Amino acid sequence: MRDIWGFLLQTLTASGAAVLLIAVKAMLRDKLSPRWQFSAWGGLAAVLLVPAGLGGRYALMNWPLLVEALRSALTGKFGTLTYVTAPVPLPPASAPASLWDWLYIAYLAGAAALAARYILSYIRLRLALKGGRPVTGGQIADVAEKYGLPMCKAVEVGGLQTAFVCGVFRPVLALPAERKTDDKVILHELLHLKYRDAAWGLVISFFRCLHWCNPLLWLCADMASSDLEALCDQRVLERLEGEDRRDYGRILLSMADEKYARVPGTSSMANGSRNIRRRIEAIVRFKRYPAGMKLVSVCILLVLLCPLLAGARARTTTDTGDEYIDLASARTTRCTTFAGAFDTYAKAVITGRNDYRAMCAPLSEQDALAESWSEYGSRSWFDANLSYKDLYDRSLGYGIYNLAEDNGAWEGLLVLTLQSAPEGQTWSGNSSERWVTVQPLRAYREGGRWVVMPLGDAKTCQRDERDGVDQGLPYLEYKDAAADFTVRLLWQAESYVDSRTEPDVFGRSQPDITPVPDGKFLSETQETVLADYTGPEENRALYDRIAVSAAELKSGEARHVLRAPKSGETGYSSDGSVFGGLFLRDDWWDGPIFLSGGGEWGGDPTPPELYAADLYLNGEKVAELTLRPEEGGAIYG
Amino acid sequence: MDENRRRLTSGVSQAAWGYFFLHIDINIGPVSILPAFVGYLLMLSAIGNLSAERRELKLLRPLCIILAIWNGTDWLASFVGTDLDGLFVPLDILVSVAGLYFHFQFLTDMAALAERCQPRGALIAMRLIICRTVYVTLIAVVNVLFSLPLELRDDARVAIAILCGLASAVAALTAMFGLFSLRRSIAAENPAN
Repeated sequence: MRDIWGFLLQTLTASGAAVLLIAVKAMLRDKLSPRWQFSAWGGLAAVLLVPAGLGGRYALMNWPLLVEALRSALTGKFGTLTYVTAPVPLPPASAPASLWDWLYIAYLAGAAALAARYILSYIRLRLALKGGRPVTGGQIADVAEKYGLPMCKAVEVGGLQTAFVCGVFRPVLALPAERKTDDKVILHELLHLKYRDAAWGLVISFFRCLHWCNPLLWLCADMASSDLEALCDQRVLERLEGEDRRDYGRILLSMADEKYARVPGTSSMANGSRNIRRRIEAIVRFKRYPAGMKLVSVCILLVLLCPLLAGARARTTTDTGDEYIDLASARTTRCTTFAGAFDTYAKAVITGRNDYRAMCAPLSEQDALAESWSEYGSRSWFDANLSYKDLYDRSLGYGIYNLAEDNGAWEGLLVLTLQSAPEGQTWSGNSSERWVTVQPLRAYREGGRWVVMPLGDAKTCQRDERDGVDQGLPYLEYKDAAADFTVRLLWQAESYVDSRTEPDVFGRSQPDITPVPDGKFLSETQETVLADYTGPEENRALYDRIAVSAAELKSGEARHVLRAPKSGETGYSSDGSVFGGLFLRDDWWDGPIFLSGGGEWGGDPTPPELYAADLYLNGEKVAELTLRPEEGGAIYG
Repeated sequence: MDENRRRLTSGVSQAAWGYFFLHIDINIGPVSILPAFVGYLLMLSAIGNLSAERRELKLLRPLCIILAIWNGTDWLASFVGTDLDGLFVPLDILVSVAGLYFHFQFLTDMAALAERCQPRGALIAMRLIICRTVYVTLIAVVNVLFSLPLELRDDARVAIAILCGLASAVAALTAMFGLFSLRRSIAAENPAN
């Protein structure tokens, strides 16, 4: 926690868990053992120790959204995201400059003051115990021996209301000097000593300091302390029989009006009249719980703790129409994969919604998006690149072409299909020649989220999908030459997050325009094999058939034996090679000779290093080729 | 049959039918015609009939009412195609915890009754205890698996959760048959019946 917002997020998250725990404990108060009642607080301790919002997760309720909306509403800033790096207060990153910075300083001062008060009171108590009269052997040794419990240094101190154990590492048992302490009280304190309960007192005080201004967590601290005493009562009662148990209850009742001091690192049997009343009720209910109770106790703890600790992650944005809430929701609905970020950006462009854009926009862009919201109405994203928004064919979704990794970031070309030709252009209506917009994008990590920034403006171009690879869009070209022919292999990959709407009554579904921030890409790779005749015209008569078989090759890897294609056949082999062969016709010599082309689903969207290819002429293998990407060949054409 | 015995057989019978309604589901569209809340109402009635024999059962009354209300509301919501599960996570957790404890203690109490009422040498009580242990454990496993974040719920985990759910239903139905056996043996003790 480095600012007041981090503290707010941490303390609200813990408060949610506290309310749930209090409700469950109230429901099971008279049903589960004091051991369970105390152990359940471990769940709250775990929530308090895990930084809130870690990995974009929240426990029970979307607290990050609430904090972000509040932060934006109070500060007027949108380019922020609250992170809790540690569950304890850390010094602020910079000198206080605003009211909120000063509030954090006040919080730090409060936590430090309370911690100092606790430390001083503990030191004072230890000094007072140092002046006490040491007690050796006798009653304490008898009780310890009878019940097989450890002993520690014991002192009698004047003015004490009741006995207590002070300290964790060098514990001291303090007894009132003015009156004899009952064996059962000593048994209670020795059990505290055995189970080192004073350490729990320290832990509780630590959390009191961290969340000193949260009354709900103070209530939980009081309840946990009381449950610890009730657990010790249970341990005492398990060691007593008959009348002794009733005596123990009477002793407890006599302590109801005694004052008690809350000093960390101590455990005292008296803990206030209300708590003692509850403990007496527990004593009345006392029973030895059956063996199966352990099973259900553990099961209930697991069912309670798993959602508290695993948490959930926001996957969709809110739709309240409120600028602060909806934009905060967008910022806190993190894109957790680069595919999710590309998907979100593509859908923001298709729909023109600025909350979708805010989901995948860097923090530096968020204030501009908020301005757009205020100026153009809720959810309207104003951007020069959206001039084709109304022309997009939503039923065809989007594609990210030729993904490439660059130092942990990913780049790709966003392609969106238009319903018609842009102004001043024509379209034949052939689906393989549709008009599209293309825009290069870069996705990178910012904090715990993936964000996307365009690398250039959106432009229009026309598809050319007649021969496998869309030659209207950028592709990678691999080539090599032998025996009057140059063999070329064109490679292209299209990726998208596969999310579709629920099927209608006819079983038809469309690409869903709701972003999938944690989506994964489904990729389709396209390969087209071409040959160009490069020899002299007089040699053409030497060739009547050509065939090529090609497969991916890693540098340094041995070549696989490739399938020998027959003339007239084309396709993919089960070993992953692409092949094609045909009889050469007179009108093919001047242009590229198309040998094979097609796509493969689920292919790797990263381009192969090389291709191994076999060239067959007139039915004979004439060369083993290594097709290399064009020198300096850029993935974007 | 004296009044006590009549209440006993009636209570055990209601408990058995309660598990039938909880675990046998026939739907017309999204609406169940064997709703779970009826199962809890039967169990509530069973608690009333059996609490004279087993004092601890009274403690389960509030939990049974909570579960009946929750399942009844869920059933009403199903008429408009809504499901209450997942709408408010804290409430889901509360109901899951209530259900876990309720079934554990209810079957424990039924086993204690069986211990007293079953014919000499019969194993109804042991069968109920085994069913209870298996049932509660599997329900907890299913709850834990479904409380994991969506991205961690891979196909294998979902398959395990479904298997555990089915196995827990088998355990509950075995307990139901155990309770019917118990009812028969209680009724058979009275020659007039």
